Amino acid sequence: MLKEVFRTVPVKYKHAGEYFFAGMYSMVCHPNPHITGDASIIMTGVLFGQNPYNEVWFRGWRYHSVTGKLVKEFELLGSGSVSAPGFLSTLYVTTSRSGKYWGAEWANARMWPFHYGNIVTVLPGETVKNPEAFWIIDGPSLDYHRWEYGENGLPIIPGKTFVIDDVVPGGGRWITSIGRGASVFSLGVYNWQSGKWLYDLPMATEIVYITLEDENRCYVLLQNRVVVLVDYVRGEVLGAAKLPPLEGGKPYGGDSGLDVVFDYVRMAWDKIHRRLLICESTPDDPPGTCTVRVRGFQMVPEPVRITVPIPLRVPRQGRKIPVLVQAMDDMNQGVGYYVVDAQVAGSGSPVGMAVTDNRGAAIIQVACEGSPYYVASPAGDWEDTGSPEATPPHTGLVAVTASIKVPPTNINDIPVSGVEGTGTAVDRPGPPGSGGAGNQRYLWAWEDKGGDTPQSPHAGAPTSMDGWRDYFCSIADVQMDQPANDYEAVLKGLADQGMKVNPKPNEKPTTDWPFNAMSVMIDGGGHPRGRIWLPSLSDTNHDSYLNHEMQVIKDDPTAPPTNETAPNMSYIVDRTKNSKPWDLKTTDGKGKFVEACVIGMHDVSAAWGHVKKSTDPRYNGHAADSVLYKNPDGKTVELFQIVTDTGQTTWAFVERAESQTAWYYPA
Amino acid sequence: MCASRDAGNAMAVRLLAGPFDTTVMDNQPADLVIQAVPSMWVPGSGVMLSSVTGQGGWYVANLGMMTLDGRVCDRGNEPMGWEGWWPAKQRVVQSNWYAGDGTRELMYDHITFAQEYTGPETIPGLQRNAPYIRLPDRRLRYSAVGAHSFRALLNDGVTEVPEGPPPPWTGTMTSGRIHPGRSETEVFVTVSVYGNNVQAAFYDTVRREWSSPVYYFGVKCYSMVYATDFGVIVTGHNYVSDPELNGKSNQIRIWSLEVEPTIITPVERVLGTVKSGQVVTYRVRVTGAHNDPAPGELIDWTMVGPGTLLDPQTLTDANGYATTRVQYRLGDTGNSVVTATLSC
Repeated sequence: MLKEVFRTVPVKYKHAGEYFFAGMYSMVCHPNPHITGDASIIMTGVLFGQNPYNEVWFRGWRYHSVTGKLVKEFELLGSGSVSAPGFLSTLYVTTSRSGKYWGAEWANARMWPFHYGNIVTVLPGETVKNPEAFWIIDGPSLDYHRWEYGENGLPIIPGKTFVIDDVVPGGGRWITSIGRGASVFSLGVYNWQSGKWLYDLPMATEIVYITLEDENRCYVLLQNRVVVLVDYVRGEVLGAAKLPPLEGGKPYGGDSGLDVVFDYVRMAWDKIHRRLLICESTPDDPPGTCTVRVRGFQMVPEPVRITVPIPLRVPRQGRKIPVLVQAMDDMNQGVGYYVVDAQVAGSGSPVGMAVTDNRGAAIIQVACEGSPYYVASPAGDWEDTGSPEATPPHTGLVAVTASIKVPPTNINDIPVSGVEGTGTAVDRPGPPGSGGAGNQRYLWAWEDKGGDTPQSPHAGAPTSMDGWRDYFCSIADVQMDQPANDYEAVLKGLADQGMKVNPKPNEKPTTDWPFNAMSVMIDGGGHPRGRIWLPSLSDTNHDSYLNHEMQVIKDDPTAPPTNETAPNMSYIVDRTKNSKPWDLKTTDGKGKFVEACVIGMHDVSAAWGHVKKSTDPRYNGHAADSVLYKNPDGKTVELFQIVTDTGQTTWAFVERAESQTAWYYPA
Repeated sequence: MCASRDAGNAMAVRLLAGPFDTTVMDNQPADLVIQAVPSMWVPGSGVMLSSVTGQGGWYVANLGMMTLDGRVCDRGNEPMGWEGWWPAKQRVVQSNWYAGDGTRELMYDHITFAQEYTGPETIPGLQRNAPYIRLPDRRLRYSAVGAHSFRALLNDGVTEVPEGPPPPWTGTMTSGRIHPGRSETEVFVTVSVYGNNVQAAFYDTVRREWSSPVYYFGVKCYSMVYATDFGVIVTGHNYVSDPELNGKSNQIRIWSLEVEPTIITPVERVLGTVKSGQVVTYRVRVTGAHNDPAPGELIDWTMVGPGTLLDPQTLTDANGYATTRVQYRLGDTGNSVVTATLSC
């Protein structure tokens, strides 16, 4: 599986008109020329404004490969930016084995070597004034037609990904995505110097992106989010893993979140820290905050489940039978070297220790006593389901359950130890915004984001910013700095009442626009953003829009963080769910499931426990759908829902509470 | 050791585990519909499936890997073919790639099902819908095409000749598959017969003879493989063709080749004469409910009367026979009673 071990801070929007992160252009990991063991992650992408074809910001970012912090932003093309010659070529940037960079401009069938300029040496706070500092061509260009139709005339899909090994003996390799007809996807391997086609290595689905790993190897990202490690010299697949689901779901204009497509993902190999860097175009947070960030992964063998114990011989009196379990990863590949903890109930007992082999298989030896009967059920216990054959003289039951300790699956799962508090029982607090003095995530605000001079075509409209603020508060029936968790409904309500939505470039406000020609921003999904526009009658800042942008939503500084600090225990929930059939439709069934989950979580960290509850629905005095985590500060807890009302398992952070009294774990 | 070399015998196998519903990786059955389980056992990896259908019912020929408890990982598109086996390389091969020509041979990588060309561009005699095994000197296929029997396709790709003895199946078969067997020289042949049931037997590719009886399962099967790594048979039960599944998901079952002993014959003398100074051999036979031999069963022998029991415990052989010897010394007189007891 791909274990997340690194992440940068997210991209931040800089200008008022920036609307969404539209797509990825390039990403490389460049060793720092001055500091050994250090590197920079250089990424470029495109940001769109409200009207994607009128407003485009082409921008570069440099991140520190150790801290993940932003070192420098570069405006490369677009509103108020410098221009960079040949910027289109940065859509198709690759790293060669010798460390050179190549860009390709497929429209003109050319590719050329270049090096990054000041972007890898400029210090924070410095300004890059020379656009050439970003992109310096340092060699003659090549015509890719010499590979396009090799000696067998097989075409390459233009505009796709490629990597270059200019070091391997025999003229090097050029590895790219090849189209061989409908639904046939191949990794094409060519001689870099001569252009001669060497062989195809067909892939399961469309190749989305390729990046070099260490010697003779490259990672290939497929459309179905499978990452394949390939030895392109020997022509062998070395392993495969599944890229974790896209955070936040479907991006704007992008894929479904289940598949990946070329425009919305880039990969790079950090050879210093041995991490596969992946950046995807993720959707904004609800108020309009960019969430795009670079994540680092390592391909590690880690199980996500073990199979139901299956006897390989018939249980019989006096017989020692092998019982098979397998530790499997997220691609159903076996994972070796895990100790299996086996419990045997009934007419048998375990013999010796079982450890998974390179297939993930472990054989538990069970000594049968009496004349036991069996048959594995999906629950993992054995029961007699009958046989088409004669019924033997069974006299007892053997039941085997098995488990393994699974390590944390990503950087958020590392258990945190700390001081544990004590207290008295209280009921689970209500959800955020349900009343009381609970902290709010959002507050109403009146933050000037800039733009043209506000002026309304309506007579009697406000003429000052304070006047516009008071007017907005009156029509929205809100107060500044007060809770705004319902901001989407409020702003949508204004639009429903006729407020202008998303004015277009050069569209001049008229008296036909109600609410003094004020307008509201609603995204493609129908969700209001936390911004509105005040009208203007003149384009004083020459951005083609006749408006002035106001941020009317801000984060509540006293609110609990949106991202919890407790480790992610969803793998315990999943493992428990898969261990046997659960009745998750009834309170009792849910409660039993929660108890099993809490036991597993508590084994990992003693900070996990139940939520005390004195009112129904409850089970054994605790909530039947949630668990609590005691934070190391000794004061707060974090509440996670693990079973939904409809009986589905989940891992949802609900809230942080300021008391640990609702937490308990039975002695 | 083979259970029996009596071709045509039916042999009951013993259910070890299941049925398990086939599910996808997140344990939700709605995401994918697994049309055919299983397709091939890949040693060191597991059960390979083909024909996994995408959500909504539209047909996507996908491949997946399944664990013995029915969890399927969808690995990607299948380029339309029928899987076979190449023992020497321990790899899955495919007899046709492009629909229609049916002649191309590919070799799968079992991790991602990436493919690799293995043979000539076309193999004229290799027919579509005819899974086969690639041996050093010939390719073997077993299908309903032609004589409903083994056909050997010589490596020149032109000449096809009958292979081996007559088929041991009961009923009229509609199609057949060849899977990895218990050794590199043995294959596991499964055939479908009318009524959507499947029969199976092992075949020795060197001796060119059946090396097991036909296995009898007692329940309707859609497909099956022999799990070489673990010595068990995995059967698939298709909810479309089996109304007993009530339209639920497909199921798999795990079977032991062991026969559950139910019958032990009276003790019979097979060698020697009951006479002072002689060693006499007695035997019993242990069989299952269908009179199929039960090898490896432990027999306790006891004796009352004159004579010395030389083998108080013995195991049944491949044909279900267990023997013991009694030595009658000089001077022994009177009646003796030899008793065999099967420990269950």
